Amino acid sequence: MRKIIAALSAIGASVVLGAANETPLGEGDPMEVTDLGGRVLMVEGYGGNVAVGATGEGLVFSDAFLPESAPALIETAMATFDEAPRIVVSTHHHGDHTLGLAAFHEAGALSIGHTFMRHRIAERRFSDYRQDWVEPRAPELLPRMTYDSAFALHLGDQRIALVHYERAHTAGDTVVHFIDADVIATGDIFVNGVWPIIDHYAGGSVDGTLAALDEIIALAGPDTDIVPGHGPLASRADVIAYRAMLDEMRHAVLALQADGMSPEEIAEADPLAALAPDWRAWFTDSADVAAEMAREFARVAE
Amino acid sequence: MLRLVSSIAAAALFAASAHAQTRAFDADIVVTDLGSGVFMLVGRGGNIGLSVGEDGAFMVDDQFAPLTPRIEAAVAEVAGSGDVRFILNTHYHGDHMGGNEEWADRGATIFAHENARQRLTEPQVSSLTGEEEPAADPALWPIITFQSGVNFYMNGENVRVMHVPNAHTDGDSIVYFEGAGVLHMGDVFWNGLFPYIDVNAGGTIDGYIRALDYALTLINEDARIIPGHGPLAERADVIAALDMLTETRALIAEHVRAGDSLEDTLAAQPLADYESFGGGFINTRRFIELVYTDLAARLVLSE
Ligand SMILES: [Zn+2]
Ligand SMILES: [Zn+2]
Repeated sequence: MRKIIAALSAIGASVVLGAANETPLGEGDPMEVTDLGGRVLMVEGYGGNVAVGATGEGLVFSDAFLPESAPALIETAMATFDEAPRIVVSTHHHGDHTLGLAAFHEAGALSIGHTFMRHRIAERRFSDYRQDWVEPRAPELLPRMTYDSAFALHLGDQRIALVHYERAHTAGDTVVHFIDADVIATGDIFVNGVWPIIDHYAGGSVDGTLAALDEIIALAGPDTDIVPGHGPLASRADVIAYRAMLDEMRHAVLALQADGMSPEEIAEADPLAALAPDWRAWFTDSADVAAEMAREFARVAE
Repeated sequence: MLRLVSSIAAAALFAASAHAQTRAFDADIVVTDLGSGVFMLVGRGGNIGLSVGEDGAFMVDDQFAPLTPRIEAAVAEVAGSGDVRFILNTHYHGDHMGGNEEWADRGATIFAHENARQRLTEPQVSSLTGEEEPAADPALWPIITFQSGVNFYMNGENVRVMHVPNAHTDGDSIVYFEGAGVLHMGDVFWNGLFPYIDVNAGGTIDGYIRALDYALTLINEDARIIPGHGPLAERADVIAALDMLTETRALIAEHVRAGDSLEDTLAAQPLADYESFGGGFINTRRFIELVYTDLAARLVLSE
């Protein structure tokens, strides 16, 4: 039903045909492009997944990838649709979604993110995670435009809604909804088959993630294509299952916490690994997620 | 001079329909340099704000379609090129967005509050004449919409676009060029003139008052304010408008609460102290009618 179309990699002419990747694509790996219909592509590459829509009045990208992979992403979409980049969204501030922005600015695109997403990278700040000061990113890596609550593009015959959800993966998340093409790019609020990151250092939370997933489930229909931040293309049913799994994990951690266990002890006990044995460890693993949840619930309880 | 501009603009002020813009408008574009790459352009229709610099031109409102070549020449005069990258429509009225199609054809990306676009897509009933006006040509519709606000970071400026609810219409934006200290208020502020409250499009006098209150929190004594209509203003002019609106609201509300008819209210001449505001398109009588209509609908509901 879906056509996997050949794509050129950043480094050459290797062509990939076949099922979605089991492992994240690296710098030299070829991109994999899936035609979702309605003139929207899912591009999997170095940096995760990006949804690209053609509108007749320019291309709209849900994220920018990394500096090494952004140019090939732009070229592939331009070659497929014969349109120039018009809008590039940042679903959140993490580098794998945003460090490719300079190539998009050079190509003439307008970059858009949530106000917090830009604030996070435009100001010098002290990082509790690194225990050090972090300098602002270079101007060519900052979105030129930010929004607060909701935002809509009416480009050609494609309506595209940008929706912000509070404190989910970060405090500055945007979901990109290609309404006419029936495609939702979730950013990292939803990842498919990998252990999630819930970046509490940047305002993310488990409870916010669950609430955002509920909203995404409400936006989607049975035929909606869900492009996760990372991992293979998904359906509404996959998001529902993921939401149920996160909630189950939440209860598992809360139960141990009720027994008086500390976040460190909970990480040690690793109660979540058995719940999702198929999930791939990535930036995080099952013990990290358990500890992260335990810390959040302890903070909330204080 | 001011009166002339207002009354000619009024001919198409309330028509978002394309045919209203085909009249042979012609006007010189008068450009005022406000510093830091920000300019005010006065032609015919709503006053234009313009920011120019290395990231391209950003324009607030675009008046009427036939004026586009002249506006383009004025932009080129100060920017070296007549290209405009972004246009923000402060609201849906034809004297503020009549040039949208021309500018979109020239490559501009046009923004507005979501209610402003929504009103362009549907027939509207004039708050003055009660006549139905057809939906605007789709070529005039802004292509990017927002709810609460957007910020642009360009030309070394932080350009803050903020929605102010239910003031002139239900889709108004004001635009603050933070670095330059210039605030473009669209039709939420008419300098020295009674403003038009488009009550059929969600406008209310309470929203006007809240919007001006809010504007005063943004600006200091040195700020320059571009009104939708009327000459360039300063903070004191906004305060004068706020005082007038607050007093008007109290005076007319008294009549509404007392159950006075519109005729009785007009006969009482409640705004005699503010006659000087009546020299524009909205004369004293019209203003009283609009405020009375607005308050009669809302006070009865809420009390
Ligand atoms: Zn992320
Ligand atoms: Zn107006």
